[in-house]
Amino acid sequence: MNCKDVKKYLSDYIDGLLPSEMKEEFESHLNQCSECRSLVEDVKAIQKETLRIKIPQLNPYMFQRIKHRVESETQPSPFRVLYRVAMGMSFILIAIALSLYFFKPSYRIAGRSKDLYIIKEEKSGYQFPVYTAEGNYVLTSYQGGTF
Amino acid sequence: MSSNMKMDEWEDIYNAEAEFLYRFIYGMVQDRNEADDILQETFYRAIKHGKKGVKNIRAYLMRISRNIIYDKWRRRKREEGKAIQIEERDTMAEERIEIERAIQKLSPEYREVFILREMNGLNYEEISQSLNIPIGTVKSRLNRARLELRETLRRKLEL
Repeated sequence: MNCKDVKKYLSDYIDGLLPSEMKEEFESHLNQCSECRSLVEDVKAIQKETLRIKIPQLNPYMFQRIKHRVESETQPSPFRVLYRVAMGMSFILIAIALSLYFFKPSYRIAGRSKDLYIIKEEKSGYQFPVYTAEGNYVLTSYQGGTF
Repeated sequence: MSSNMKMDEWEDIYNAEAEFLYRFIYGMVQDRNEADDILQETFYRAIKHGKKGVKNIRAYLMRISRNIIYDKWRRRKREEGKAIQIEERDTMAEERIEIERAIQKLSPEYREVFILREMNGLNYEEISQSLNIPIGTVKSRLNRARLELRETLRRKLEL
């Protein structure tokens, strides 16, 4: 085993994962090489220093804070309820306006005389008279169109 | 399942995993307030998304917390520039021992493996599962992290 191998197997050695034969070779090299010996000692010292790092204590109310945050989002606020109602009503109004636009009755003039027009609703076949006064149309427009 | 039952279950998970996770998060960011925020955000996201289909809850929480940490770093890098983070940490760290600075200077990939091994005490297999990387990668990253730390600390700690 040489210096390059020591760097390669450093972690395996430190963590006790080297097979016994390799471990012997590793240690035999360390006995002969002061640089590699120093490397291993340094890494072990760093391990000890790392364990001395203080981790702050966990906030004991942390889970309550998380729980509160989750629950406050699952329960809708009054503003959110109001917003949903307003949105629902808007959709209904739009639907009514669209149905009036697309499903308006269609009329045509089915007959005429001097004093009246006969208007016919296409789908139902319903007919009704619209009278004129002295030759002028009384009704110049009706639901769905104009004369 | 009622929401109370669900929260009780999450409280059990919190009690089992929070300390482990906090250790890892603090090791990565080395700032108490930031570590608190990240831990809270991790559990919040986990509870919101649920754990359906999750086999390893620890790995799941680790993945969420790593995403949050890496997102924060990316955002910070965009906003302030890479150099500022290191400079800030150096000037505010008078009371901190050199090893914390040196760990902070490791690349994130090396840092997380080093922290999980040295601060969380996981073995290679557990690190591999937690980070979802092969054991060979764990070994090589840990080796490089140790060598880099040794180089950084050699003179400062008079090792």
